[in-house]
Amino acid sequence: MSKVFRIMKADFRSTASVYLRSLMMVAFFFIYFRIFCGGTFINLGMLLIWSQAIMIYMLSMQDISNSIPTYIGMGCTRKSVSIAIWIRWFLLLMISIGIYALVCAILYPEMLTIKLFITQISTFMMMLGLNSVIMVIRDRNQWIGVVFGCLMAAGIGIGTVAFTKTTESAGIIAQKIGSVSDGIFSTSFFIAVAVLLFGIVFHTIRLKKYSVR
Amino acid sequence: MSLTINQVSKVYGKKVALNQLSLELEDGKIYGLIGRNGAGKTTLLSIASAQNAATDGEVLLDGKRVWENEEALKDICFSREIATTATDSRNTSKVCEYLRIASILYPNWNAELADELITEFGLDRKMRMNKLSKGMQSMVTIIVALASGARFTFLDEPVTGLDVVAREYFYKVLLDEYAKGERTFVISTHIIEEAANVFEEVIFIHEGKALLKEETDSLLERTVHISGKEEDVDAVCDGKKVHHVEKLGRSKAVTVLLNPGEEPDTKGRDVDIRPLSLQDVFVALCGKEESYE
Repeated sequence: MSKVFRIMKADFRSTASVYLRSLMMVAFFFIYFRIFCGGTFINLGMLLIWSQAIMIYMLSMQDISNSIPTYIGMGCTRKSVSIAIWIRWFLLLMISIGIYALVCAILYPEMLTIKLFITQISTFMMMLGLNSVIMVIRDRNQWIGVVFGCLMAAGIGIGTVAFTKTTESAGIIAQKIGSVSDGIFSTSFFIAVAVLLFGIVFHTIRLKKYSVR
Repeated sequence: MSLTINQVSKVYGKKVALNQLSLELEDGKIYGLIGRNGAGKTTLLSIASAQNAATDGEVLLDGKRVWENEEALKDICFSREIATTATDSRNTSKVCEYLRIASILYPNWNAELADELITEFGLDRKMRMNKLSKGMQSMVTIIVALASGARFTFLDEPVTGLDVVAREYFYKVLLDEYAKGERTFVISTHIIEEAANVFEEVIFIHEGKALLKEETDSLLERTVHISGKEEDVDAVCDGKKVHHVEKLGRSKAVTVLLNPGEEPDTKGRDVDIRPLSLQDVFVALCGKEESYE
């Protein structure tokens, strides 16, 4: 069994635990919105983004404070750990999008568009890339990392509120995305890819000389 | 199989933790790694197990570099004090989960031995890592080290916080594993007297350098404490390596490191010669007292 697979196997339970916790959180809020606020498609989209942000943050925290030192401390190479972590993120992205598609297909089948999925994937990549940078900084200096984290959370928060305010009903969000020109749409997608790649490179370089303290 | 530490240096900011240190660890031995606080013991073990990068020099296992070498790392386990790694306040994983991870990552994991140690130590598998007492953390460290099955196993302060019964049990299991003849243990400890009987060889680390590496019995045989009148002691010690000088009035006491096979010439001199314990030898060699040759 290769070391990367061993790491992924070792990591499975803690990842599943964090992922389920974030899913439960989003399910709770979604049900709350459905019952008390006449939940709409927009709630689902925003909640998914927030659940992704929470999940990415919680898992990254676990990686930095526990998983990475444990795996390297138990004889894994930094390269194997790095590869295992990024494969895990990719799988989580696939699962998140899968769940989103499923819920969307059941509740809002008319909203299922390719552009919406790409938007979700872009958001995930963007958050993951930014978060990786924040975690590296946080590992070096906790307080600078916390400040960066807060700024990112505030950014997402303000963005969410602003987006919600400008979309009055469920259909508008899909219309908005649908009406975004292909140029802007693909640019934002490539920006997300670039941010993710930057995060991967930044994280990998940091891990290259990682020392267990 | 041998582990070679070749001219390894480690610098933290301005502090030199290891200074061009070289060592050769052979297969099938129990080494005692002894040094004062800050001497560089943990740094040495973490570099030897590739948990930490050396500023200079290299560590080789059978001639192959250990750093980022999966094949080599299969044969090395450094079970360190958990408080500095996994028992972060955020780490709420259970003992059983931590050991499950170890069982997956160490290819030669001995599950039977791990279970036996857990039962014998009376460790609660469901306890969370951040709730463990100092002694319990040591137990987990010991379980991982012994059950890892790694050819080169390093333990950093393994008995800290353990009660005497648990310590005795640890030494017993350690010797059982050693008796199988396939494993090398390097044990860093400050509780020297208790572990002295277990160490086949001792390595003294002082200010980032390997001061001495020798078989324990041979070292104890050639280290003596000589006391008596100052002029008699000086005469007996003439030309010998003298450490740890103590004076009281006209009396003097010194620790002498003789050459192998050498006997002090006490003919016509009124001196008292007695053997030293390993701890006394360490204090004499690495203590603050001035020494002269």
